[in-house]
Amino acid sequence: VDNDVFPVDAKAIKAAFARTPSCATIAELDRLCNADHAGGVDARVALHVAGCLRCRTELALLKHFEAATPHPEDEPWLAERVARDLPAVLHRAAAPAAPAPTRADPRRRRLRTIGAGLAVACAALVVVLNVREAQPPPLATDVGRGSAVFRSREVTLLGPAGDLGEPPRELRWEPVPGATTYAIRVMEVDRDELWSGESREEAARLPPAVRARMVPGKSLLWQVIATDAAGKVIATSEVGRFRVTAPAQQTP
Amino acid sequence: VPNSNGTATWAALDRLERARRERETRLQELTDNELIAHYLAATEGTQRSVWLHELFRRHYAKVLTWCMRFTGNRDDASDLAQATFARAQRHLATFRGDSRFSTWLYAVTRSECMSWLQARRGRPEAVEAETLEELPDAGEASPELALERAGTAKVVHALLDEALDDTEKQVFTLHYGDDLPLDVITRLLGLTNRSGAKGFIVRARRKLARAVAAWKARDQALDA
Repeated sequence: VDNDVFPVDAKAIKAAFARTPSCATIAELDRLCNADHAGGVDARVALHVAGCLRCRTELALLKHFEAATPHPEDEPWLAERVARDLPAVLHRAAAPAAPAPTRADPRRRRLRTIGAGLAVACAALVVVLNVREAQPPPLATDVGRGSAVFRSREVTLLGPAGDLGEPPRELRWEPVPGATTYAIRVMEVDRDELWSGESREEAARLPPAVRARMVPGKSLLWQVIATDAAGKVIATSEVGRFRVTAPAQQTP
Repeated sequence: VPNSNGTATWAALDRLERARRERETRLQELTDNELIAHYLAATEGTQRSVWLHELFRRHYAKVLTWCMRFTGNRDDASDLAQATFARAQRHLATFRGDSRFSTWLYAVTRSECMSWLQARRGRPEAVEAETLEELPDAGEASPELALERAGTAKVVHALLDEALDDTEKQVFTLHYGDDLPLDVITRLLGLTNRSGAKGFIVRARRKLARAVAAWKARDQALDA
């Protein structure tokens, strides 16, 4: 398009799109967008929006936002970022003095990514603890009993985890200082127990009969509790998850 | 076989897990407005974060998706979504409940995105990446010109509304009204044609030029 022959100048176009006092507020656009809203739609507003390019465009954008669905190839990234970034946001929210995230600066991104990873790991732990232990008044249940003991320390699970080609032969975890015995439990996803046992080492062999019950495609959970010489629980693990994807084979 | 201590511990862990699930289920049954009310009423940090986590969890993917469309790249989108929720948290007490929370969040997101765009425009490397379709600029307005321009704006608005289709109107409004780059508009409106928003702008400008010419001809005919 040749600008020299275009008959309207930029400022006149800008003025044509400028907001006016009659333009709908975001709440009014919301009511237009959402017919179920208790407030209903003001006829004056509806009339204005019908004739206003600015308001109609805002309404269209709001509808795009509400209906926003990610591109299929972005979905795994999106899920990963929600899991990673949301705890970081909440962590910052819990510490109002902390600065807001710095804006994109390509030169610093690498360093920041590493730092953010560490911060997110800490934040994720904080949120997990908060979600597990916080008891908002209307939702209070009997979760309080004994939780402080269980969360004193963690047993870090090493494996199995994720999809496996065959049923695991053993379960392994990191040693906990002061632990003399470990109680181990394998469960189905509804937490029905498949097997439980004890070990004095940082591993437990699974009996062939148990391995034979690990049906391909079915997720299983497992957890470890560490106890000291007096039989006192000193650490528990998070719940691990694995799944056998290939049929179980008989092994010696 | 676990000893009696182990059995008791498993039972207690099961109770914890059941309680956690119950809590999650109950949280999920609450409306956004109820979550906000609980969040604002809570005084203790860990309690507050439970309400906020559920509220933000519901909307995080939507905001991130929008930011992805706006920025066109994952790192900036991620930064922008975090900044949006940080701002939403800071101003949550100002949410009056006269719209859905998601609409209020949209306003926050849009504002953050526009600020991001302003900041990006200040960076030299961003200038070439943006596609701006310039319009002729008649310079600063004298009072007479300003008055004429105000009148012209009304005419232009009417002509745009009459001559353009809905998508062209939206593209035109966002590009010339909000100064949004064409690539951003293409992604925000989900335009799938080959040239994206640029194609709509070119077509819209031609239509507008014809409409203005026809209007002037009619105007001159009436004067005569």
